[in-house]
Amino acid sequence: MSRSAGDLVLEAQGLDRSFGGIHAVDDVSLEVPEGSLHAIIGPNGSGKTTLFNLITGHTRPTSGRVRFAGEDITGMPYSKVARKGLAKSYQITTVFPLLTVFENVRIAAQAAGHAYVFWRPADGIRAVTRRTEEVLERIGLAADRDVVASNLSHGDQRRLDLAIALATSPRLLLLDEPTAGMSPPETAATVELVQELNRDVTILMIEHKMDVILTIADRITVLHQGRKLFEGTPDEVRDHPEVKEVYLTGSR
Amino acid sequence: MTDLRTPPASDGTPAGTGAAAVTIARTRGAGPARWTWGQLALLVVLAVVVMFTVPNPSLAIGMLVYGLWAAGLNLLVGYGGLVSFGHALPFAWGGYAAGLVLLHVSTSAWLAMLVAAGSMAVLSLLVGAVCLRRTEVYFSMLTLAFAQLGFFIALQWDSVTRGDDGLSGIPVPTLWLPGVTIELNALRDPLTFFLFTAVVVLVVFAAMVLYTESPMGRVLQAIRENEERARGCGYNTRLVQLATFVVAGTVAGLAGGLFAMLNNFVGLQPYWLLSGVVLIMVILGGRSSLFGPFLGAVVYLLLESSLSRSFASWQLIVGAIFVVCVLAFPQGLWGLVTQTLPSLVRRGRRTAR
Repeated sequence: MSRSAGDLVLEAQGLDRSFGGIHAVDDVSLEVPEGSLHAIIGPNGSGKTTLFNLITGHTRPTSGRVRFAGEDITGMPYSKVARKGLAKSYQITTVFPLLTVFENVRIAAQAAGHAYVFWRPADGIRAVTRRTEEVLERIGLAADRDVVASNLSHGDQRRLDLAIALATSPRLLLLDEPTAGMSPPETAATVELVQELNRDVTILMIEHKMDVILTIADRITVLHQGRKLFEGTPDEVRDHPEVKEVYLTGSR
Repeated sequence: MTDLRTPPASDGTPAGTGAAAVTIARTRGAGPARWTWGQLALLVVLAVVVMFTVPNPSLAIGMLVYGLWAAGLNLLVGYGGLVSFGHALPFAWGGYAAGLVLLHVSTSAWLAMLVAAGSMAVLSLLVGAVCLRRTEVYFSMLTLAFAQLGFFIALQWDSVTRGDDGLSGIPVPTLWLPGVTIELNALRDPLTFFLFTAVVVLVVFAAMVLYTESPMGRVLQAIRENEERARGCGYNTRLVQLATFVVAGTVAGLAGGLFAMLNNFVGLQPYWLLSGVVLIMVILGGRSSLFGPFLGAVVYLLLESSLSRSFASWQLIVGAIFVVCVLAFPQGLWGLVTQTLPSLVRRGRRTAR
């Protein structure tokens, strides 16, 4: 699926982070080419979320560099990284609970060109409204646009979370367990959605559900105890003896 | 107009049980009301009603000034989720600034207001930059600390503030308009003063409504809802909060300046003692709109003026009323009108059918 391979959107080199002597992430390197869908798997505590936080700037790496679209973003504050086009969808659903679905997405959509405008009403900015409607349509929340976010079902809140991330028009989308806590039909719908989004956004995702990963990822990085155990295509991962031992046997 | 809609009143949070105003602001009921530009019309109506029904002109003008001040504070409390315990600081600062200008520089009302608002904008930038290094209750404590600091400076710096005595004998300000010069004497010509204040208040109020409706104001509300997520959208959330702090401070500075012009006096009392009062006005009126706090200010001052005539300990009664209000309808008076009543009517209609 990697159409314009070669251009790396994200490049992490030798990322290292320890918390009080425990290596949460230990010398992990990662290369995510433009257009790909890269997955990170690993048992609980293997450092997946810490790795995400190192990439987004929530946590400073002890050593190592992160390059995004050719630019060094190591240790940059998250809001700045986000402005450069790296959006993140959260493991715990994170929306603006008291705002409507439309406003949730509109807030994200206006960030690109009209972030700090204070002299004209937000509702009058057509480009932002259009972008918002586009995203809602794509995510499948158009019918719920006037619903207050906290009144949505869990699955729909996760979709809204995704919609907010998407509305900032990111170059790279980080998804932290997008199907966590979802019913099988909701999971199927989300998998479909992620695949659809991947047509024009590069995606790096953490996922626990092995069947999900093996069907949609281009490349998979397996983490174990903070280290990169293996990296390869779904087929290679499925057949790798060590991965089977560490991960698959435990999860099935 | 807006896409923000208040959640159903039945979201069942124990909003009133938290004692601190912080808790109140953080409870889920603080959704923005549907009224936006309609608030301007409401304000005009309220001003007209006040003009014709409040017999004491000084009180009537005071209602406009306090209303503006409270509405400005609500940018922080209701829209930003930032509860300032020290909003007397900008009000008093504005009062002293306007008073000093009128006493020593010029009797121009424009200049006095400009200096009151402008100097407070600069000071807000500094104070806000410090206070906003913390959030929630720590933010509140820092604002309180700054207000206390200001109080002691005003008390001690005798040569400028005249300490305990305050600045008395502030000359009557003159309003230069193209072609006319008007004396703003609240005693001799209260109507002119009232109308002038009403125009200023309306213009500033309109600007604040625009602010809450602008992309920046919407982000402010999003930050209240979820700061981390707002950051994730690429917003510098501190910047938005600081800008709001400056706007609220500037409005309060202007209100303080107007108050000084109204009373021809600035002193420790009442200026420095009003941080709690203005917060009560906001909560009483309802923090989901800008009009709510305005209404809260009018109602509070009405209560004060009518009760203080017959009871020496009128504050006891006002306090009791406030407690009941917070417990019974945490949405405030205006929230009661716009949210609770409609839902009751709807329920009534449903049962009638």
